[in-house]
Amino acid sequence: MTMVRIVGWKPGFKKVEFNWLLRECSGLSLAERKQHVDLILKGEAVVIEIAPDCFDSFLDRASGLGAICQVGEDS
Amino acid sequence: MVVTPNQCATPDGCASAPIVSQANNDQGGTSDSDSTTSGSTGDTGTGTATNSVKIVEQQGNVYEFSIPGANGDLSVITEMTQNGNQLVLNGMHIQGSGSGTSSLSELRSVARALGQQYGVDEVVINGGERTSGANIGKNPRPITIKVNQ
Repeated sequence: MTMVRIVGWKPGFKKVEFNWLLRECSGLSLAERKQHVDLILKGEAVVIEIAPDCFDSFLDRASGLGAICQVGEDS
Repeated sequence: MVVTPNQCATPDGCASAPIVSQANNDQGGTSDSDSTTSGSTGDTGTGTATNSVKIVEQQGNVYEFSIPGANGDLSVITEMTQNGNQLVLNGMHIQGSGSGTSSLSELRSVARALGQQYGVDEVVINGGERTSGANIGKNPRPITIKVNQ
């Protein structure tokens, strides 16, 4: 699995669509996803484990939705 | 369980049916194939198109709703609790089908639909931090909506 750190957001950040992207690409529950999005909105960095089959597209899609991402190391 | 807008799951016409009792996905799994429509809610507000509120997913007191709007579906992710005669929506994230496709009147209509579903007098919306529009980065002021107005 690959860890992605979300370190911020840009104006126009699509909160709901980003939640849907996390639904597709992580094992997080609805409550966990919302909690993560709320933390991102507050300016706190969050680390999310992304499924391998989703990772190739995740960064581009997340960036397109307004999330600012950094890639961590594989675990 | 799937309930269409005209098929209420309770004998009282869904007037007081708690939405949570109709959702079978309280364990956090996604439920696009197990969506629930919370009954015919009517449109008593000034909004234009809301007549059904569908639960897409629910875990604990966190809900994702889908609401038909005049310009496409509205999607809402929010915490929701009931305090007496108030339904309180905390940290609401809302998204329409594009810029300018939803309006405050539609939001009020959605809130009234939910309020009727729960049999409450008021719905209080504490929106999440704005990421677009004029007040970006700020939490919107709480909005209190009378259900039967």
